[in-house]
Amino acid sequence: MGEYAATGLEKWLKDKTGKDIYFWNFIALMVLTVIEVAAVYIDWTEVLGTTLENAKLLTWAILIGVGLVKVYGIAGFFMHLKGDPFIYTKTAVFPLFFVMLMLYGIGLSNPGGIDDLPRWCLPPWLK
Amino acid sequence: MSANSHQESPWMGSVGIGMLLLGLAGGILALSFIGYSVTHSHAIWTGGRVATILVGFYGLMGVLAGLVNSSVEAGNGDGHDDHGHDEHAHHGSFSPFIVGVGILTFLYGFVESYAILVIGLLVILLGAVNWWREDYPNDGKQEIKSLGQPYKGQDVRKVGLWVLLMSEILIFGSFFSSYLRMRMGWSTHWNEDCNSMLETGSELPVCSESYVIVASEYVTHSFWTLLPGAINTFALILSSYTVVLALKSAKAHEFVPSKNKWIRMWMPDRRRAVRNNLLATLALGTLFLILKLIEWEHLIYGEDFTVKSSLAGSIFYVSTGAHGFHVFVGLIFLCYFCFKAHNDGWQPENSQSIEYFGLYWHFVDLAWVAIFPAFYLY
Repeated sequence: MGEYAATGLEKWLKDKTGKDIYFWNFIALMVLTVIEVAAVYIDWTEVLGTTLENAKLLTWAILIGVGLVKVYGIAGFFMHLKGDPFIYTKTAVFPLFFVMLMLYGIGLSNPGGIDDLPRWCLPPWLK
Repeated sequence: MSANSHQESPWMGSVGIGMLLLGLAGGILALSFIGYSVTHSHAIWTGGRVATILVGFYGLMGVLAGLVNSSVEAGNGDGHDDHGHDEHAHHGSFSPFIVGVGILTFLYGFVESYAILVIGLLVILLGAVNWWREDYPNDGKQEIKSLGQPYKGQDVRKVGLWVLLMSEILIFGSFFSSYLRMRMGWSTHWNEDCNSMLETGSELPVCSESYVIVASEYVTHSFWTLLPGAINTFALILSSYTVVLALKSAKAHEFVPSKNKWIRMWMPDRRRAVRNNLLATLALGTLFLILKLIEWEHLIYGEDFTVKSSLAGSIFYVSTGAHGFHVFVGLIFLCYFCFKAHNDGWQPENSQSIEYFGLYWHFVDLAWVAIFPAFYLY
């Protein structure tokens, strides 16, 4: 969150509106949250005339898409990864590799992940 | 050695943070054991052990790296061989270590006895107060810089905080992977349109036997049940912005009051701008916890959805509870920050402490960005 010289869109926003990137980031996060809540409440089967399964997939896609933009807004601007040395971005991204492994290895690919993990993770003397 | 010279103290740096992480790892293990004993949820037990191993690994690496670096510096003769020669040189703090031991004792006491639990709390309090006592006169001129790669030249406190955030990402990652596994195996309101609430007169079919009611079904049942979660989301985003405003005010060498008369009345000078923005953050964080308790109260007593009722309840309360605990810890630190701000303690030279607190607070916001759609909307 250190100070750094605004360039590009950030500079344009500051010049045009007098408000800095933090203010507009805050506004964007608020609007995105409204979109998230609205996406859950809108009955897509009626609005788009699609099946329940497709409607749920659309809602899911909106939640994930909006979530990713919000993460970028908070991490990039509020936590200032955008202006800090790149080593901090690498530090933040490093554990995500293990999180992806857990999401894949436990969450998505192993049906017995929750119940079976203790069995095959434990060393023989603790079983 | 001058007061402004940059040296790395192992206790302020990776050793202290490493000890803290080791304490945290022990705590997570104890908590997951308690969670397993209460709910018999393998998800908690497994997630807890995975998180313990990862956090413990980071802690051990921190301690070893700090000790090795310390001995190298002593050998070079330019780091810590000047004891007694320079009263201004910063020699770090034992407080993170004390807090780490306190957390370990507290969580052990959580399982064993209330007496040990109270001792743990007192040790945590001692460490925290000592930490703040040392930080209070900090004018920012003795910020310790990292000497080793890859963080050479960076503030050690900032690096330490990012390492802490790395472990936090893994903790919440383990919750999410467990939750995702459960959702993949369940039939919920997301993929089955049925009369799950057993409403009379409903034209919907009866739910299948594998149907599970998750928290989001209760929460999105009506506008009023979703309202606390939605307000909390806005409150956390707003509180992130007020921390940024507090930092901007503290950093400004020449504070310029706002042209808006209402804002100018509330923040006419730097001292009040920093203090009031931090107070706003404190108020919003408190609002978050209050609304969280209201929401839990409704789920537990209104819907009989408890931590023991099902795996869905177990993972919901553990995940949102862990997040709420992070908010609570942030609020405790905020009290100190507000106190120091009230006494005009934050200047451009030492404002980085607010920045580091902000990093933690933004992470809490970041975690909520994932928790809110996953547990409340999905």
